[in-house]
Amino acid sequence: MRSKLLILLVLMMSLSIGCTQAIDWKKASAAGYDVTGVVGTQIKETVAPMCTDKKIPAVKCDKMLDIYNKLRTAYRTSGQALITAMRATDAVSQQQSIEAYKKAINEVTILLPQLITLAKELGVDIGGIK
Amino acid sequence: MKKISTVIDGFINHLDVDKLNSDLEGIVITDEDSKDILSSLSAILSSISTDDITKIIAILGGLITLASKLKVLFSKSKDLGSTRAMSAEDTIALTNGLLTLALKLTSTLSSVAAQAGDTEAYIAQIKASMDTYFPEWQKTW
Repeated sequence: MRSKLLILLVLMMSLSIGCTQAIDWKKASAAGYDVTGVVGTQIKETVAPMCTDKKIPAVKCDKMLDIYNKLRTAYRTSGQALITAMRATDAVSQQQSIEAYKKAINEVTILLPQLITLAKELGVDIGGIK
Repeated sequence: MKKISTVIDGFINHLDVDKLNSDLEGIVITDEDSKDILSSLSAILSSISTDDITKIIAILGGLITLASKLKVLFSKSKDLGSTRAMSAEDTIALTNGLLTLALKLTSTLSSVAAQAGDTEAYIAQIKASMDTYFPEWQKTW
């Protein structure tokens, strides 16, 4: 249940940037961005030691590490694009940066649920997510 | 031997992240230290004024530095065979504790930004999220 809520939060975050009429997109994006990072880190902090101690099959660890690395790249790329969008002084460059952010954060919203699902399959308790 | 609680007290007084970085070199952390660290950091949190963005950012920088250094320090303690070194479980608990505190700070930063409508504060929050959860130096897990 909680993992579904987190996935929903991440999806809401990716959509929030399109809702500029209703809410402050900067506020919503910054908050959603942070929540996404928390989930990714909790997975790493829990799973990485288990992989080191060989408590999880190596093939599963490799797969999770691969997704985690892609998630890390997409997360940092989307953060940089978001910062550029916030600093943009004209509408055209701001829109370009927002599109770059949407593209990268869309990848995050695909990878993060994959990581959560894999962890759940292994019965890993991630900060209360089971 | 220099104690980590002394190093953190020094950081609280001067908010100098570079000095914190160098002071953490060569320190061995014990179970007892971990309790001191968390209580010191809790004390910092309760003293933060919500309109002091500069202080929040400085403290956040310190937390990120601590969280990133702790793992290295713990593994060094283990390699040295120190009987006072912390267990892996305690290491994870402490790292999670630091991350939780960092999260509280970013939330504080968010509410400050919301009140001020300050773009730079939102940007600081995003940078803090990047550096806390997926730091540049940590290429993988």
